[in-house]
This record gives sequence, C-alpha cells and structure tokens, in this order.
Amino acid sequence: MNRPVKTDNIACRIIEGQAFIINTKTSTLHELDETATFIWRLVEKGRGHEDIARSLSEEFDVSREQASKDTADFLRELEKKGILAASDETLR
Amino acid sequence: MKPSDKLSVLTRTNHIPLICIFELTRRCNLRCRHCYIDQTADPRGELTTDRIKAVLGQLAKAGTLNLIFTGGEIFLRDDLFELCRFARHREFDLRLFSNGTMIDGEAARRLAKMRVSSVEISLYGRRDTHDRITGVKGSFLKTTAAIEHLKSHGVPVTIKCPVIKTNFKDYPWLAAFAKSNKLNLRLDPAIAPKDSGDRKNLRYRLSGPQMSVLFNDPALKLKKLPDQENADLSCSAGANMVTIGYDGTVYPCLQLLLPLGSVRERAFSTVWNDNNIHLAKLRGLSINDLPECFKCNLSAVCRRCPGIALLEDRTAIGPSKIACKIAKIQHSIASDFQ
Repeated sequence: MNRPVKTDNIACRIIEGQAFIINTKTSTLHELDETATFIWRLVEKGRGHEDIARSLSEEFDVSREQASKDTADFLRELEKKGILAASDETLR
Repeated sequence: MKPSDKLSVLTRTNHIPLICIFELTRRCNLRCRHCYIDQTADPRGELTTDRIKAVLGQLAKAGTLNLIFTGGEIFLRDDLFELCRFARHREFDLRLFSNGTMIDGEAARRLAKMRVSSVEISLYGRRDTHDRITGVKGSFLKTTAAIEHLKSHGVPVTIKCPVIKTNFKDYPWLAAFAKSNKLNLRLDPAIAPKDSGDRKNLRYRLSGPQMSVLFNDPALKLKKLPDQENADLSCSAGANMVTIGYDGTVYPCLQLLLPLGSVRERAFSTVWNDNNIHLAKLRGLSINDLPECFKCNLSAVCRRCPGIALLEDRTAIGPSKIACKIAKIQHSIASDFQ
C-alpha cells in the first residue's frame, strides 16, 4: 500500500484526541487508540506509508522496521473494515 | 466499554454536541393528525443555503458526528441534495427524516451515491389508515414506492410510526411489512403535544389497555427490563445533543423548546458554550434533582422525556403523565415476567 485513501463510506471526528469512525455502509462505529489516531491524522493529511512509519518511529521511539510493520498492519485492518481504499483505486 | 458507550460518555462529560437534529423547514405536503409541528406554507424565515452550510462547518468543528435533517418535509427544499452533499463532504453521519412522498428512483440513486446512513420514513399502516392519518389520498402509494426505490439502491431504511388510536389495529401489519422487507421498525406510542402548547392532538393517544397490548407484544420487543441500580432519568438534550430550528434558533432538543440563542446572530459554538441558564441546569441535572421521580418505584423502567413533560405538564424536572403511564405498564409486565 502506498498512499492510503479514505473511502467515501465514512463519517469521522477526532474527539478529545481520539478518532471515532463510522462505516456508513455497515453503521459500525470504530474507536482508534492514541497510536492509531496519530496514524489516522497523517492519513488525513495524505501522507504515504513510509512517511507515516517514519513519523511513528520518531514520535513513539520505536525502530523504523517495527513502525513500518505496525503501520502496514493498521492500514490493512482499516482496509478490511471498509474505511480505507488503496490509493490507486479512484473512490474519492 | 463499547465504542458507542465510550463516545457517549466522552461527549456528555465534555459537552460536545455529538448529535445534531437540524430542522430544515416547517413546510409539509401532508397534514398528519398527530403531528407536533404548527406547519406553515411559507418558506420565509427558513435559513438560507449559505447560512446552513456555514453552520454545518461550525458543527463539524465543534465535534458533531451524527447529523439528522428533519422537517416538515425536507424534500420540499430545493437545495436538499446540495446540503446533503455538503454534509457528507464534511464527513457527518447523515440521516434523513422524511415522509417519502417526494423520493423517486433518481432521488434514491443520488442518496445512495452520497452514502447517507439511512432514511427514516413515516409509514402509519395500510393504505386507508395511512391516508386517513396524513389527510392526503394517495400518500401511502407514494411513501411505499419511496421505500422500494431506496431499498433497490441499497439505502438503509427505517420505518417510523407513532402508534395512535387511528392505526392501533394496523401495527401488526406494519411489523410484518418491516420484517418481510428487512427494514428497521420504530414504533412509539408517546406522541407529543404541539409545539405551540396545543394539546388537541393528544386525543389520538392510545388508551391504557391498548398500550398494554403494544408493550406486551413479544414481536415488538418494546418491553424494558427494570434496572434499579442504573436508573437514569436525565437525557442527552443540551449535554451532547442539540437541535437547530428552521429559523436558526438553537434548542437542547427538538422536543425541549428552551431557546438558547440563534445561529443567525452568533456562531454556533458561542451559543453552545455560552453560560445559558437552561444549558447549565440541563448539564448539571441528575436523578437527585427530580425528587418525586427519585422516590418513585417505577424509575427503573421509566422513559421520561423532559421536553414532553415541559409541554404537557409544565415542568421539565417533574413527573411526566405519559411517562408515568408507560412506566406503570412496563412495571406490571416486568412483575408478571418475574
């Protein structure tokens, strides 16, 4: 996955530092923790996977390899939930 | 804790307007006999498209996630689709309340494309019953056609129906209709007086025995199990829920008509965060502020609405006749059950 892109199925707000995302297709509410919200904010800024991993590594003091894996896992999870699409899909 | 509970607690505690009911118009093409709205045919006084968009931007910033467009009949506004598109671009969870009579195949297609979360349609029973309640012949056929259009385009539909004397015999038909069409169904016997305070429409309320039949029907799942330990008679109004009236007046809720200010004159957040006496009371309200209700042995099954209590019983913080009546029925069902 290069640059993650939000699908047009979502409703979202960051409340008290925490992201809450609804998949409007399934009416499911998802809650992101602090780290996930950090990544989500970067997704919203249109940042790519490697860029996100670099910021994550710096912010949370983890290795680049670990940050890259964590980012990929998280983005894949959001794809499965219908919140993200791959950047080459023109959903937006 | 479930994400929805956590979000509710977080927003109630911090007074974030998570839910906004936005009344776009008071015009309507039906004349439903139980309706709480004093209708008008005059669009003057309604907020303009630009003003609504500005307020939606302010709501998004304030943290509103769940947005409901209601009326009147919202499809009477020429700019409805423009407003829906705007709201979805700002990533609101958007629900529409409508009578469905103006939703054709093209409208359903556009709503599906915008990914509205659901359309909640008022349907009151079989054809004759429905048309008798709306006062408009042919409205049943238009409303049920709208449900078909929305379904075929994959837009989630909820059927909403106040159960009154006129359609009491039709509620089993509605339940079967919703089941066979795989639609959500919301039945409510607690109709509210008119906003003007006029109570004439309350003559359509169900009798006690009729309510008892309704709450005892296992197919409807209206039975409320008693929860004495967590009895909570407060509500979200003014805490994490807000209503914006058709003319820009801000209220804690569509039913609780305590004016807080106007978005015509001030930014939404200024009204919401103002030191308004109504808001301060609502936000500090606990079961201890309702001494009569606190002592009542029905509080565990009570679904008291402060707005209806204010309109009907002239007090937002005292007992509500209709809530007491329903609570007594719920309590007797629970006692039989035990």
